Amino acid sequence: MGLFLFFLYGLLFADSCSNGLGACWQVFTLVLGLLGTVSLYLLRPWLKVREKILTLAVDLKLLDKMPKAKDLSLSETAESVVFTLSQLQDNIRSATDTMLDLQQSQTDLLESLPEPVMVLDADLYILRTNDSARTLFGETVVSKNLTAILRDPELLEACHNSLRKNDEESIEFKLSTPVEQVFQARIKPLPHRGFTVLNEHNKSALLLTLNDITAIVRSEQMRADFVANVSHEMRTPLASLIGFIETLLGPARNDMAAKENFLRIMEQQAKNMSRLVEDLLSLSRIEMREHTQPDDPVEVEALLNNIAVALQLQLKEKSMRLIIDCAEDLPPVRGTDDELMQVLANLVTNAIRYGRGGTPITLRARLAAENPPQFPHPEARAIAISVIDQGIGIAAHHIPRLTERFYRVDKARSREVGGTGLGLAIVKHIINRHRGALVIESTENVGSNFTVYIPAYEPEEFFAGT
Amino acid sequence: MSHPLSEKKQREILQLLAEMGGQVEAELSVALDALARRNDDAMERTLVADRKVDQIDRRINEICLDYAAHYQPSEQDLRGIFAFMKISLYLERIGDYAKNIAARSESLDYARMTSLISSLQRMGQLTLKSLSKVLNAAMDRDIKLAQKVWKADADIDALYNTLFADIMAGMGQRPMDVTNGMHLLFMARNMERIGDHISNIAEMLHYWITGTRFEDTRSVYDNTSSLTQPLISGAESANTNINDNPFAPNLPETQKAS
Repeated sequence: MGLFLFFLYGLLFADSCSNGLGACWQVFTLVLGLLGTVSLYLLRPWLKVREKILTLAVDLKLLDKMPKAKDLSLSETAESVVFTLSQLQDNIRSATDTMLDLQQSQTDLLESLPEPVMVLDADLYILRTNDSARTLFGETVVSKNLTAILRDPELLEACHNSLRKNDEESIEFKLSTPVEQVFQARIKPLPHRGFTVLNEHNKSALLLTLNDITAIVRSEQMRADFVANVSHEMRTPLASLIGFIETLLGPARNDMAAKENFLRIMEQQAKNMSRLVEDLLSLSRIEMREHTQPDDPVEVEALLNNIAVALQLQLKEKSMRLIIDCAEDLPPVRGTDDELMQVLANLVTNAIRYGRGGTPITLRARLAAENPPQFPHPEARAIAISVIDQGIGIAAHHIPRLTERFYRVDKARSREVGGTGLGLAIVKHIINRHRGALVIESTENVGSNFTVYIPAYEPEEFFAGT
Repeated sequence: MSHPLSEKKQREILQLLAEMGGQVEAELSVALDALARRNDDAMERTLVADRKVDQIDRRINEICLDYAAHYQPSEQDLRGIFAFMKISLYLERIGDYAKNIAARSESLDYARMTSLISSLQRMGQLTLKSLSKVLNAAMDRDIKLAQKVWKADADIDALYNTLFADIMAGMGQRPMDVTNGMHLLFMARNMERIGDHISNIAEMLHYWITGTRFEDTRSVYDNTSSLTQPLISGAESANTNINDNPFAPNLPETQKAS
């Protein structure tokens, strides 16, 4: 507006001096006027831009309120543009950083889960795995198809069902390599595609989580097997008893010689069953206490002597003698004396039963030079008590299973000599309770050596508050 | 291998083979469970699986022949078609043998020859592991793994030879065990055949990818046809040497020497 007035004034002034100077002045004011309008014309959009930038800056909370457009000069406007744009860039950068952080913490969360987890796409290609999954299936499992590692038909069907019905599925399946394992798989559809962000082509579709239930299945199987075994063991002598009773009530009613004979056999069968029940109760009692370690001192030499006395009748029957070889000044062991007596009784009874008549059985007790690998506390001192016989020995492939309940190398012979099949299982559980170890060595036709390692009694452990 | 269609077709066929493989693995697993007496419905499950396996076998053959007829397959593609059809056949045979094992386990008397039955179970586990490995190798196109599986067939053959000899000896010692022994022999034979087909699959994989077969340097073969140990007559060994040899496995001294 001011420019216009100046322009008018200039024209008027120019008119008033109508000589050469006036003409110059006219041109001057004309040019000035023209320049003025042109620059105003050019400036207007620029002013509009400035206005917009300032509005944006206010929106982004970079300015408290919009300053009047004309208060800002051109350079100030330029500065404010630059400032706003750089703030914008910072905002974008920090948003991206936050997103990357989120994705990283998502990955961390996935990795930390103990169960194998995999993210699959709709064609069952593996997009993402966690550490547990890579440990189970190998490091290079990402981008393979699921069927390269898991092909159980029910599992694959469950995956397809889950995709189709958009619903969770759960299925149990077995894996045979690298070791036999049983898993519970949970399959969950992933609608949000959250696992595939930032440059990934395939869309995540399914989440597969595996739960290792091998131990549970095994333990169930073992329980079922045990019940079956016990029933079988009881049924045989019972059937025999019933048979003889029927015979005595019927055909052999008046046969005195038969009666005598049959009654003896029935007595034996009944005693067998009784022994079995005793052993089962023993086993049950020990298992209940197994978690509590004993804490009494037990003198080893006394133990060995007592066993010799307790079993002298059985030894005499087979003309076998017991050689006791106990080291001098042996520290006591940390244990429960009647349980340790049972261990030795079971081991020596086996030596008598399966040893050759007339041969000696050696009971040796020493401070263990080196603890066996399965001994729970490698650094603790242990006493090694060995029962060595010169019997027929045990084939190598039987040895790992010897302490299994009802495992016998020769079933017929074992029953004949009155064995229940539980002797070594009882030994194993008692030794477990004592936090010791059992080592079995044997050579066929030469003999066997059963050595139990039991922790020594260390009084300091009770006072130092270990 | 540059034809854009072949990669997709290959993937399709491999997926079908994976599905088929999964069914066969399941069949063998069911058969081994039956052998360990852990299921009652082995027969039905293997029959159902068998039908699916046959279906997929037919489909694979269709796709392969169709592809060969309508396109100009490259050399590797042609090898692939050939190999896939053979692998499909071998898988179908393995499924059949598994079905037979499942059926036969119903006739076993589990009270007799228990250690031989355990050995058979162990052989079965080894076979199942091998099958899974070779299928993993197929999906991964991993020829190194395929070669390992092919070599490991020697272990299965060795187990078979030992088992065969033991079963023969067991039958000789106790005539009552002959029926059981026969069933065990057939089952062991089935497992050995499964092992054979697994190594054939491994060889076909190698052939598809490299064009060459394996060098046959394996040293362990099925030697049971040359076993001439006469079976000991029942009369001689009826009163078994129980009192002298309580811990030895139930073999007379002479058998052990062989």
